[in-house]
Amino acid sequence: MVFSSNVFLLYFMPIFFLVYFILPKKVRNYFLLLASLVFYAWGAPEFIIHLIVSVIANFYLVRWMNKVEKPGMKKLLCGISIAISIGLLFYFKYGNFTMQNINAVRGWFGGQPLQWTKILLPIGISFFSFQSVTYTLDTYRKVNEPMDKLSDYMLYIVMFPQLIAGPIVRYCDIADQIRSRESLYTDRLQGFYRFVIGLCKKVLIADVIGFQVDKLLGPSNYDVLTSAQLADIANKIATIDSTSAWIAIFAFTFQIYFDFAGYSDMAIGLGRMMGFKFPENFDNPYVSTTISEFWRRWHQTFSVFIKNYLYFPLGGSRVKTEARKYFNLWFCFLVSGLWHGAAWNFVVYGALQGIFICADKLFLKKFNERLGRIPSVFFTFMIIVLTRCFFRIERIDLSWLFIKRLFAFDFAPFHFGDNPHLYVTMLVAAFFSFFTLSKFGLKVQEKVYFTDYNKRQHIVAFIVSILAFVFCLGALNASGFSPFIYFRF
Amino acid sequence: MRTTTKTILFALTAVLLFASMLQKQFTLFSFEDLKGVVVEQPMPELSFKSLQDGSYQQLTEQHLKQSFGFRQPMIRLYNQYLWDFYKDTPVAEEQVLFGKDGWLYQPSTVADYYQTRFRYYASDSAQMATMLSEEAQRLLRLQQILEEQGTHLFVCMAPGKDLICPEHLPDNPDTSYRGEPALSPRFFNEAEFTKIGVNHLNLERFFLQMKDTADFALFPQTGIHWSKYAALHAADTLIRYMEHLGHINMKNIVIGPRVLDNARGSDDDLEQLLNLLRPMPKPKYHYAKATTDGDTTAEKPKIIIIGDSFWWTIADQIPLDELFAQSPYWYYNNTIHYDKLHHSVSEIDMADELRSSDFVVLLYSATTQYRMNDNFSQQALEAFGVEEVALDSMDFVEREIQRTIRNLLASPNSMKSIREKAIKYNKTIEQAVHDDARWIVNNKIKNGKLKWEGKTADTIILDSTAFVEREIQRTMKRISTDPKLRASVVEKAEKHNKTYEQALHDDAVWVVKRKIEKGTLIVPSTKDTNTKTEHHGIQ
Repeated sequence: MVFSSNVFLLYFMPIFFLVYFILPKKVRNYFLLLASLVFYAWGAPEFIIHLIVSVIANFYLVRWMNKVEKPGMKKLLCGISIAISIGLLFYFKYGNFTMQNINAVRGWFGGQPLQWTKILLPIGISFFSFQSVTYTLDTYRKVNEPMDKLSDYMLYIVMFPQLIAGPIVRYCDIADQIRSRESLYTDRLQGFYRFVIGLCKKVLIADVIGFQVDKLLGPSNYDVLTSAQLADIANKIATIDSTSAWIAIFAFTFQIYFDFAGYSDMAIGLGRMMGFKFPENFDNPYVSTTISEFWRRWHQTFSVFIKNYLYFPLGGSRVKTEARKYFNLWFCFLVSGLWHGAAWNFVVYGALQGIFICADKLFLKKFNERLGRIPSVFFTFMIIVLTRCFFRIERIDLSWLFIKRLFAFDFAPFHFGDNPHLYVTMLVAAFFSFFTLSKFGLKVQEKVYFTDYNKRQHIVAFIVSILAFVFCLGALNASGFSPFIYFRF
Repeated sequence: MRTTTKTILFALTAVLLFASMLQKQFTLFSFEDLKGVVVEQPMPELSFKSLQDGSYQQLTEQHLKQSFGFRQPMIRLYNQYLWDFYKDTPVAEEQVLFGKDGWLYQPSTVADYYQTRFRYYASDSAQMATMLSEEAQRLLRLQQILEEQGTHLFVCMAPGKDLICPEHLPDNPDTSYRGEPALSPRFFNEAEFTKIGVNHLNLERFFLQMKDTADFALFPQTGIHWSKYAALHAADTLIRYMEHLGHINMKNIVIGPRVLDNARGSDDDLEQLLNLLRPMPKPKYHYAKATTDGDTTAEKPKIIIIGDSFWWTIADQIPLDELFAQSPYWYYNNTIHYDKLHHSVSEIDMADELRSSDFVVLLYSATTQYRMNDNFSQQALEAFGVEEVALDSMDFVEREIQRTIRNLLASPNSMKSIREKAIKYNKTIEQAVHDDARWIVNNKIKNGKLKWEGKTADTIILDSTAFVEREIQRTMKRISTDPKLRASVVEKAEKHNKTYEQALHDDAVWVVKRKIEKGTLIVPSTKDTNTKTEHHGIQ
C-alpha cells in the first residue's frame, strides 16, 4: 500500500487511527503490528511470509548472540544474523544483476548463458534489511539490550510508516519509544499537518513534474521495459534538443527530492501522530555549498547508516594512509550508489559522488569557500544536477549520450506557454528548495516543522491541512495513480 | 483551553477523514456525476487466491478510485484549478485539445487536419488507400444488390470541426510524426465514390459553402459535433437528397423561431469532459423547434441509419415518426436505437432488415471515416451470401486482424482498457491496439474459432518473422509495379552490379526496416515482449 492512494488515505488511515486511539495503551503496539502487516501484505502479499520468517529468525538469533559469553561465538552469530539480512537483500536485489553480468562475461568467452528465473524485488527490502542490521549491530556493540518481546522487535522492523521507504530508524534511537511513548494532541495534530505537507510535496509537485519528465525521457526502471520501448527511449534521448534536456534534468532533480522528502514527511508525520519521534531525513539538501554537505543533508538516515555501519568498520578516517582514507570514502559512496539500484548506471552515480567527496576534501571545498555562499550553492547544485543524469537514465551509454545532448548547444526556443503547469511547478519546487538560503526561510521552516503551535496557529494549520488534503485527493484521482520512486530501492 | 481547542480540532480531523467513507456509504450529499466513459469496477469478491495474487487489491483500488465519497467535487475542484491557472486538464491529451480563443477539439479531429492519423489504422498511405478502395468496392457491390431489392443505399459524409473551423485549431501536437501527410479518407472517399458510382452526399462541402454566410454557429466552441441548429439544416438537406435518390416526395422540415440560449446537450460535450466546477465562457447558441409541414401526400419511407454520434444531434431534434415509417439507428453498426424490437445488430437478420428498408444511410463524420463503416458492408455482403475470398492464409489472418483493430477502435470500452494498458506497460496506443487485436485473432485460431479453408492453427498463425517477410514481399510487389520505383531499382542494380531481383529485395528490406524504425509499421510482439499483458487482451 502506498500513502498517496485512496485506500490508504480514505480507509486505512482513518480506521487505523480511530481504533489505535480507542484501544488501551497496552495493546496499541499489537494493533500497530497487525496493521503494519496488513499494510505490507496489501502491496506485496507474496513476500509477507518471507518478511515474517526472516524477522523471527533474526530475533532469536540476536537473543542467542546476546546470551553467549564467548566472543568468537558472539561474532559468529552476529555474522550469521547480518548475513541473513544482507544475503536476502543481495539475493532479491542483486540476483538478476549478478546473473546478467555472469552471463555477459561467459558470453565474451563464448560460453552459453546460465538459465535462471527472474527474481522479483520485495518492496522496501533495502530499508527493512538495514534496520535489521542496525538491531543486530547495536545489540552486539552493547548500545542497547535486545527486545524482550518478539512482537516489539517485529514492530521495529515492520512499522508501517517507515517500512517501505524509511527513514531508516536505528534501533538505539527507537527502542525506548517502542516500549513506551506519549501521544499528545499537539503531536497528533502536528503529525497530521506534517503528513499533509508530505502529501502535497508528492502529489502536487513530484508527480506533476515526474509525469512530464517521463514524457521527455521515457519511463524509468528499464528492467521491466521491452526492447522496443528501450529503443524508443534511446531515440528520444538521441534526438532531444538541449533546452528540453536541461528542463528534463532540472525537473528530475526536483522530482526526486520532493518525491522522497514528501514520503519522509508523511512517515515522520504518521509516526508523530502515534507518539514516535522518527529522525529527520532531509535538511534542505539543495542549499549545500559542497557535495559533502549535500550528503549530510540528503537522505540523512541512510548517510548515518553508511557512516556507522560501513565507513567506521572500514576504518573511517583513522587509517594509516591518506589514500586508504579516500578509498574508504569513495567505496562507501560506490556501495551507496549500488544500493539505489542494481545496474551499472547506479554504480557510476555512486562512484562519481565518491570522487566529488574526495575532491571536496582535497580542494573543492576550499574552492567553494572562495567562491562565496551563493555561487558555491549554485556550483554544487549543478554537480548534483549533472550526476543525476546517471541516476535517471539507467543505461550508461544513454546517460552519456544525454549529457552530450545537454552540451550540444542545440537549443530550441523556450515558450513558457508550452507547458505552464510544469514550469510553474518547477518554480515552486525551486522556491522551496532554496527558501532556506535566507534567514527568513530558516525561521519559517523552524516555525512550521519544529515548533509547537499555539491555538491560532493550530486553527490556521488545521484549515490549510484539510483543504490541502482534499485538493491532493482531487489531484490524485484526476491525474491517476503513481507509486513512489524510492519504493524500488 | 488550549487542550480543548486541540481536542476539538483533532476530533474534527477524525470526522473529516471519515467523511468520505460516510458519503460513499450513505450518500449524505448528491453531486452531478462526472462526465466521460467509465467502465465501472464493482467491489471484487474477497478470496485467498485473489488476495495472494494481488488482483483483489488492484480491483479494490480501481473500485475506490471510481466511487469514493465526494469524488465528484474533489476532482472538479482540481480540474478547475488546472484550467484557471494553466488552461490544462488531466484529460487534455487523451480526449480534448485546447485550440485558440478558448475553442476545444477532439485530438482525432486535430490529427485529421494535420493528416497524421492513418498510422492508427494502416502502416502507410498506400495500405490505407487499398483498404478504402476495397471498402468502396464493397459498398458499390452492396448498393447494387440493395438497388435490385428496391433499397437505396448512400453514404452521408458529415463534416469535421477541423475543416469547418480551422482558424481556432491548436498547432500540430504530434510533432513526433515527421512523415508525409497521410492519406485522408474524407478526400479519398469522395473521389473514389464519384469514380466508381457509390451514392454519396458530402455535407462537409455543404457546410464549407455555408460557412461564410450562415448567421449561426456551424460548430459550437466547446462541442464535438455540428451545432444543434446546424444539424437541423443538415437534416433538411439529407431529406432532400433522399427525395432525389428515391424519386419520392417527403414531408419538409419546418424550423421554428430561433432562440438564443446557453449550450444545450451536445453543444458543449467536449467541455463536459473537462469536468470543471463552473462553465467555460462561451457564446450563446441558436435553438429552434423542428416540425414538419404536414404534407398528407408525402411518403414516409423506412430508413436505417448506420453511423457515428452525429446522427444523435439530428434524431434528438426532428420528429422522426412524422418523417419516417421507421428509423432504426445502428450506432457504429453495433447497438440499435429507435427500435422497440431490437437492441443489437447481432440480434437481427441483417439481409431481411436491409431488404425491408427504403433507404440505408451510412452517416459518418470525417473523423470516423477511417473505420470502414465498422464492417457493415462486409457483414451485409456476407448476409446476402457474397463473401470475400482471401488470397492466402496470411492475407486471411491479416484481414481478420485489421477487422479486429477496427472493432477495437470502435469500442470506447475496449479503447479505454487498451489506453490504460498502453500507459501501464509503456506502449504506444497503436502498438497496444495491434497487440490486442493479434492476441484476439491468435486466440480465435488456437481455439478453432477461426479457420481458413479448414486449416488448423499451426498453418495460419502469424509470427513476427512471417509478418516482416510478408511485408517485404508486398513492398517488392509495390516497387515492381510502380514504373518510377522500378526504374530506380534497375538503376541501382546496374550501379552496384547486382541482379534486378537482388536490388529489388534490398530496396524492399530497406523500406520495411525504415518503416519499423519510424514506427509506421508495427510488427507483432515476439514471444519475449508478448508478456502477461497481452494475454489479458480484450475478449
